[in-house]
Amino acid sequence: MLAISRAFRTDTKLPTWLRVALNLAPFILIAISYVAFAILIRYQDAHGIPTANPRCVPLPGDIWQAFLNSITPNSGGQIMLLDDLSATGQRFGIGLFISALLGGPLGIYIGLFPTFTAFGKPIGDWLSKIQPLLLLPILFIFFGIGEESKIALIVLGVLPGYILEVARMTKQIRVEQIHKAQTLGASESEIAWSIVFPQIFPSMLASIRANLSIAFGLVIAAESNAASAGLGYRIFLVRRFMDMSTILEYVMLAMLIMFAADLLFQTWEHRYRWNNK
Amino acid sequence: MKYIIDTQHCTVSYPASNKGGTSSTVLNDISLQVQPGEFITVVGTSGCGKSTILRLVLGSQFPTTGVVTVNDKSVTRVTRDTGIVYQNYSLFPHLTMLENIAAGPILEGTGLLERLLCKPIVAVLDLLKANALLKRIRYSRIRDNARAQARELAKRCGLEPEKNGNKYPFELSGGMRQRVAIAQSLAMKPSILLMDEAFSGLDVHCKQEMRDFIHEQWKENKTTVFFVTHDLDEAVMLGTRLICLSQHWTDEEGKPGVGAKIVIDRKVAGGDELPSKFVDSEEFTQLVERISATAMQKTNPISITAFELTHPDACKAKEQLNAS
Repeated sequence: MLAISRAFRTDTKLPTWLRVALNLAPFILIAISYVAFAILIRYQDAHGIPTANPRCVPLPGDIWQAFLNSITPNSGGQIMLLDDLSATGQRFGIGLFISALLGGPLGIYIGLFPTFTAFGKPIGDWLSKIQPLLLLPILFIFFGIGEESKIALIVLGVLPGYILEVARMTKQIRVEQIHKAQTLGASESEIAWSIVFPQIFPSMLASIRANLSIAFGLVIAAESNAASAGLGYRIFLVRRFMDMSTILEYVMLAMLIMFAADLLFQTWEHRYRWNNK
Repeated sequence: MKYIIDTQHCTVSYPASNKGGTSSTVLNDISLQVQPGEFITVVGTSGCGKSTILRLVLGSQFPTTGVVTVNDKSVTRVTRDTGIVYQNYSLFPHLTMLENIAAGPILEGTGLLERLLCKPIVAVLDLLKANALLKRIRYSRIRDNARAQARELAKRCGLEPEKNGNKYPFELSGGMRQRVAIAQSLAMKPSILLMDEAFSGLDVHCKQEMRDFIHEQWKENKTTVFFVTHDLDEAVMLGTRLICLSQHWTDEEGKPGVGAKIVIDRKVAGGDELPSKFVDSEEFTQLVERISATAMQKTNPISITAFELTHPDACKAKEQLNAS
């Protein structure tokens, strides 16, 4: 009872071991439930009880085997998993990089200068309302089914929202700071690049971090439509053979990649200890 | 006579914001002349337009009618001629204490492109301790000079640069932050230092320290200071000349006026003394009592004519008028 009442107190400080245990608990519960469910399906199947196809719920050993297969070089010396990871990583990285490169300056200028605000904000608002996947067929027609259309999809999906977010962050810079910079002899460009940009940079990283899953979702969607390598391509390919082990392996890998990317950005963001103080 | 700040018949009013609304006048025909080296304190109740005057001088706001000149030039934008210290947000949070103080000279001495290109190169050379190469880069030389100047200024302001130089503003106390903000402005050697409620957020002890500090800096640097505050004691203690603004005044016929007017403009006897030593003077007590009972009240509007004559110059003018 005491433990339950403490759980609902706002000032409870958890010891590290308990916090780590609570962090891991949901993952362990999901894994245990999944294995129990897989065993149940197999039991029912063995005893002739109508149930799902056991292939739909592979055991951890099957997933591990699928992983080993995917890192074994094929007859052409190619490693399937590496090819897929590199293809997806390139599209994802380039798309995100272009979005950040364009979105940062545009957002700062839209947030800082009224002329840019009047010109850029309505189009940003309008573009951010369009579901980028609806544009995929148009992109395929314009750019073909090569890399350009997939990268363009990420840029279209991430850029408008990112620009508006950077503009919002820029507007949050106090006008006093701008005036202070002007009294120190800063020109308009210097205010944008020497005062505003460094101040909002950690928040820009946070915004990119928030866009990671959107960009990743878009690249998977594009790959599932037209590609010859990539995580999305492979998952949709092996789906035809009901190769659930490979699908789950790739889903878990995708999750790990996202987790690593998120951690990377979070660590980078936390390097700026003055942020949000 | 040459004035460093000259506001001539400045009125600031805002148009009606919505249908059926009325326009509002913040300042009504304000004329204020400041001579070089004066320590002007502007006092008044909340919302009386003190900060509006400061913004007019700074150049971040413009009068609806009238002209503001600083150094004989009409004010059209914020320039490096004026330094500003706010109650908050004066420092750049992403820069350390020394970087904040050195920010102005670096911004002034180097171009944006030069900084963007040279900063990473200089950072690498710094790590490699390649001093010979560093000396050949103009940006590095300007940066080092600015840092040396910042260190010197920080020492003069009692900031202990060796101990606190690499601390970010959030790691400094409120008083230290204000000292850094003042040092940051002084690094640019401005002809006018504007201060907007600069000591309002500080505790009593720190406030007293800062009053003495700004007074010492004023005497040392001979900068004209334009200090806006709502604290009457502070205004009387600090300034050599006190300006009191009020929205509650009546004209010669007793009709209530619209927008703030200068109801007191007078030199403070003993205003050159250090604020902490000025507290007990008779002049101080009398002046504070008189202004508290009249100009700082919102209840009974005060006659503008009665107060305008408190200005020594105004008294002199009236005597001359009567004599003629």
